[in-house]
Amino acid sequence: MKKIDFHIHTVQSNLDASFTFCQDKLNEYIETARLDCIAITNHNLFCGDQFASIVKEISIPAFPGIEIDLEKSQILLISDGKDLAGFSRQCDDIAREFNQGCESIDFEKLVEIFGDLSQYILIPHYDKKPAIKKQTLDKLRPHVTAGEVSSPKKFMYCINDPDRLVPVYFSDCRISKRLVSIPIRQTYLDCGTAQFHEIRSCLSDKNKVSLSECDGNSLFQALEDGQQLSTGLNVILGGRSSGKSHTLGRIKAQFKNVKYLKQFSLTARDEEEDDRKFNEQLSQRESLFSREYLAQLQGVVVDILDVDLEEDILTATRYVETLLKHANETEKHDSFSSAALYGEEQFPKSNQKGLTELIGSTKNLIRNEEFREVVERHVSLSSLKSLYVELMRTYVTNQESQSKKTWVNELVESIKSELKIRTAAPTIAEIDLYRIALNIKKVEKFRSIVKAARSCRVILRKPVQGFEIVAEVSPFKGAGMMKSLSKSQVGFSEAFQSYNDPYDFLQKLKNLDSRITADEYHKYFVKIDYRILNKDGFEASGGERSEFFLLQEIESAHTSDILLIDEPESSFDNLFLMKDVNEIIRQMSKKMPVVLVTHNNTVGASIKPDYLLCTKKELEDGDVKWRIYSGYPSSKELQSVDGARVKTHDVFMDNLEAGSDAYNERKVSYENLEN
Amino acid sequence: MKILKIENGNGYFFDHNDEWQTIDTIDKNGLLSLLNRFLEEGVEMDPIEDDNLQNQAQLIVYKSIHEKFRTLQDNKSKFRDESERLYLDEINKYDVN
Repeated sequence: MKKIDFHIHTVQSNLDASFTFCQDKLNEYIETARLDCIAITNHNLFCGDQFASIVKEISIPAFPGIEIDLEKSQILLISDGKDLAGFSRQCDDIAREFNQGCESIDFEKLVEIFGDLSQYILIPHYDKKPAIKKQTLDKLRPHVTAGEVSSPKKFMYCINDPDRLVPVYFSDCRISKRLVSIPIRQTYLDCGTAQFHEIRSCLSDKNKVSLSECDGNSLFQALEDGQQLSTGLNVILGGRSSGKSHTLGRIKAQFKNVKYLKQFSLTARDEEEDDRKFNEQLSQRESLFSREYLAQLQGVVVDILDVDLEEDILTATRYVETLLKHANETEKHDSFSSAALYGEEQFPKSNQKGLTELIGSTKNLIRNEEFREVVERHVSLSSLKSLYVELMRTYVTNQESQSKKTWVNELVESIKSELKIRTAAPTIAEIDLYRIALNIKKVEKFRSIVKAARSCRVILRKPVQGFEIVAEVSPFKGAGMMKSLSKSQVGFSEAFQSYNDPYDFLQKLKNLDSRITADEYHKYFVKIDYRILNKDGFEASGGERSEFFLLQEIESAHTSDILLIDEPESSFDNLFLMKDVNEIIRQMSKKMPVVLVTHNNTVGASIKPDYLLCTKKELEDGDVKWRIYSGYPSSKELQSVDGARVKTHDVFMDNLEAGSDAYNERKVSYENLEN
Repeated sequence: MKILKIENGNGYFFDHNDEWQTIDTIDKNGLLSLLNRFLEEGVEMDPIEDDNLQNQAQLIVYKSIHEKFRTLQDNKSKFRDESERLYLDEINKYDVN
């Protein structure tokens, strides 16, 4: 087995953060990680002098390479190093392209510079950003057999899918003094020597690459000290304060895309607080549904915001008063006030909405290809086209007529204002009775819409993982509920007094603090509550709620590269509920590495882990020593990275059964009960 | 055709029944009818000259209408153009008649 890392940066390029190469650090990396072979691959450049000096300083083979921006992705190109000067010249050509402002070269340029690609090892970013595009990969075949991935999960995904490239997992690290953590991302190749042609041959065979030296792809290195984890389900056992959570923290620090479910994160502690948190979480999850339910109401609220009934009443009063005055003071009438245009009203604006919608629908009927046959069975295409043209002509005529009326309105207004200036007769106030009448109708409709929207009923029943999410609408019962919805200090008491009259209530909302913006008003008209029912249709208990959220959290880990769960049982009041949780954890571990910390026998024993880890705090010669013992559950002993061993049976007894004495005592009492 | 005239110190407009009415009796429909005539055919309007319109109310109405039509003279086709340009391509495309 040869352990290789073919993605190492030693020169800062304009794509890197600032760093200075450190030879000692490279030596330390090679030694600590026990590497057998490396390749130096800097971004779009190759430094021949530095490479020659590195080769002299290290004891393992190193190949010259370059990481090239190719068609908006990146690819490693590694040479056998036999013609270093020639390779250096080719890389200089690449560097020149990028120095001239090029951001990415195309396949043709790559071939132009490097010629026959079959003499190199080519490894594109595959399940790693920026990933190679299919078209580019097609052009590169058959010279590409392996692709770089960014996590053990993705490595396993490629291994298990026969259509995917051979995966490789490399450090992609910058070797500098500031490199604190020695990289743990390398690939093992099943080859006798670290020769170029042999390595290239291994990279075309999935059976010859692996994440671990002795355990194939069952295990991968997870911590700097060499500690391994299973690519499936890992269970960490250990007494209180033995470093279980600390170990999870260390694993988390090693990976980028981690889903970490912390201990007690879903626990119910205070019933009222729990209820509030639960509703909040559920409302957040279902916010899209709430938004959809309230969308139409929101539109109506926005429209009603422009309606001011109080102002309309004032306008009408003013109109009646001035009209009466005008009628009573006839002696003041003169030729100006007698002109017909003096009291003339404007032509109302016509609305073509209905017609434009009809035109749109007709157009759809004409253009639709999918149901052409059905449409034509009833209406011929030529009839539809005639209809369309006639509707359009009507539209055009209406538009013309409207333009003329607008022109006349302007003229009427200008004559009226001149007549008013000259007359001694009392002026009649302007009024748009149509608009006022429409506003009254709008408010009436608004009241009935709100009444209907808030009438108590169930608006959603959605089955989720054996539970049922139920959404119910109802009116708000008090100002406090509104305040908690607003998540602010705004007081709703005054507004709530008008809650039964939606129009008045809206006016009060408008007068509230500006922290409640107009686009949120609609939320205060209808209360939407979510509940979770269990399998029997009853309200879920605290433990069941925790189970529901845990299942949801675990489900959402799909996109992560590793899932860490810290004592899920701490969130449950009834451990029988763990059955479903265990099942879903097992299912997830078929897709990604899962690390589960537990001290509970129901979980630990029934979940059947692929790999067992046991954290221990031990006293050795007066010093505290923290160790992780690990191994397959079937093995008799677990071993730490420094060679110490414990019996697997003892680990189970101590951590899951509260020790052998307690176990035996329990065993006897169960036997007695049975007899 | 004449649509506005001044006779014996009074202003008149030609209404939709083809009759002359004093200008102070014109309402919005009368104005619209004048506009249609103005757009459809060549029209004439008597100009206002010194003291040929003594009634001050008639003067205000007549003068405003007269000026408004005069401004429109150079821009006569605006109503039709604006509306006919709308969806012109589609009408041409679908017009099967």
